[in-house]
Amino acid sequence: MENDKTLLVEEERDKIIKIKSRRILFLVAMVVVIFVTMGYSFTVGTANLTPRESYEVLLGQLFPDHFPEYPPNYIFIMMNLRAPRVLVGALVGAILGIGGCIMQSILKNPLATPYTLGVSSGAAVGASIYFIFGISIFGGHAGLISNAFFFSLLPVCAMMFVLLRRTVSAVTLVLSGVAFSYVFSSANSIMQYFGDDSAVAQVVFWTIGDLTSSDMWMVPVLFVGLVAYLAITWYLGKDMDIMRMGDDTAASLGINVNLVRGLALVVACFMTALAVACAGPIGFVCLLAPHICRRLVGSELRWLVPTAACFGSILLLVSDMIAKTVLAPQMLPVGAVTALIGAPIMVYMLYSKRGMRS
Amino acid sequence: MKEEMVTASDVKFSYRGGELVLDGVGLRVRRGEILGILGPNGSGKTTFIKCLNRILKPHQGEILLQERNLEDYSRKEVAAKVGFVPQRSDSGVSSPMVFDIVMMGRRPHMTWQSGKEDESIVWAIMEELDVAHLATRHFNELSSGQSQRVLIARAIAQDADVLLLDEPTSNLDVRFQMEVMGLIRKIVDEKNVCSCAIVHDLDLAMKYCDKVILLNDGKIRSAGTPLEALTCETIREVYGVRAYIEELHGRYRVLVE
Repeated sequence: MENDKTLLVEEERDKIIKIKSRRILFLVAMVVVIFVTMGYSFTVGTANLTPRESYEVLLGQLFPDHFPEYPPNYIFIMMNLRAPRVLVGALVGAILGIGGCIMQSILKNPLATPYTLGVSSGAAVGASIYFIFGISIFGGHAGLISNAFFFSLLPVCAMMFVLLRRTVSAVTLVLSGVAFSYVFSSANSIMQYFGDDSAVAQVVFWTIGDLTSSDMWMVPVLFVGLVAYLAITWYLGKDMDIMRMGDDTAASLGINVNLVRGLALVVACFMTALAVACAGPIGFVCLLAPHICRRLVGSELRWLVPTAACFGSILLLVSDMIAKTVLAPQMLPVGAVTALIGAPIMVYMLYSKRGMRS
Repeated sequence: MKEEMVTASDVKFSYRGGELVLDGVGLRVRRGEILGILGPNGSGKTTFIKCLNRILKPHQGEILLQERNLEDYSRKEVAAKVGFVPQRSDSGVSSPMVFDIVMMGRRPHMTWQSGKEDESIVWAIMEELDVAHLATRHFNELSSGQSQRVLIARAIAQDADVLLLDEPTSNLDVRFQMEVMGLIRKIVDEKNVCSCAIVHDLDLAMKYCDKVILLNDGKIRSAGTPLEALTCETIREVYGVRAYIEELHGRYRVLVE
């Protein structure tokens, strides 16, 4: 009997070592897949460039002396259309994936995403105001981005205003987020009722989420944001894990529960707002990435977050390639494709017995 | 006389400016002692225990931890000295592994990452509490008795001198109740720490506690050794039931009519 127990304990020790090495393996594999997908994405598009030409144009921009010169329209296609689309897609996907992990953990709700707190519906109101009334903080395309960004931050600002004064339960946060979403969507409906047809069509198209308006200047902004985002979630990860066991438990372990929760909410909403402003409210990545990755690496945030970031990237890149090619030369908005390929994967993973239990 | 670990006096507390939930309560626990907090539902037991590790801040009164005011400690210092096992622990979306939960107890002692030393401490404690063979199980897959042992293991991993336990025996069958209380007794004796535990079962309090306080409506009705504090009168007054204290095989038990 005693011997059996020691044997069992030894087995458990081995299992923990295995779980740890499995996490590393999955994460490394994900990173490799991202680079492969990105590498392939550069060569996919409606224009007739061979993969070799695509890469020579790209590398020619970095090292002009070592590669043959290509006509300006080739350079335009690569530098203004394909490269920003791929890079922005990868970064936005990662940012969306992380947001889902944080929200599900902080709000203790498997359906929660930053969109639950009104980020996407706020952004849609910002976009409507821009398209229908032509009102924006800045002129030109920056007007759309800035409108979407600021309006998507309204709900979380309102919540912080309350959170700084008193403790708010997770359920209350979710419910008030849903309430915000309804307010925004009725505001949106009213604006669309009065808007002219073409403007309304633009709004609807924008709210599906799309990468066509990606621009090179977004890449460094999103990249720096993503790095900071990963660092902050790594720093808060252990504390957020403990908070899942209850606020009292976390407080008794020396964690400033309100500070961690507030900071995580603000950072997640801010970064998601940034991603949504660049690419529109692309659906489902926030929800799907954490659920699938939890099956692969478990629920510890320090592992889950980077894995979900990678998964979000891959999902968006693959969706975008499908969006570009399936009805070529017509391009589908990527937001319409993410759920279409993501949801079946999720259902399969949830019902299959493989993977880590959750 | 052994070192005084927790001394609370004249503690008053109310939630959001409402009625006083605690109205001038106090206690004194020394190393090696288990203090039972008893009282009917809603008498302020949980509120009081939460004041003792500063999850709640009393409006009035003084709480000393090792003769130093609790207010003067940092968050982390309190966490390193006082362990807390709440009545319910929910883990939300998906529940962590047992190993990770016990490792949470090391949080007050680490800065960035858990090290090899933390790991060996966690394994040692898990083996001591007989949960090591469950290390990779998820929390929601455990029985009530097992999960209670895991939560106590976490509090011990905290290396705390004071263990605050909110109804450690709730939801357990008779055998597990004895097992968990016996475990707490053993830990308190062997590690020379102390514990304040909310106990509902008067018999368990008689058997395992060195002292008890009996709360009623946020006030202390009686305090002392179980035999002194739990009498026919106090039990009738506080719980509204008639009870007798009887000696059986050298042990005192409470018989409720």
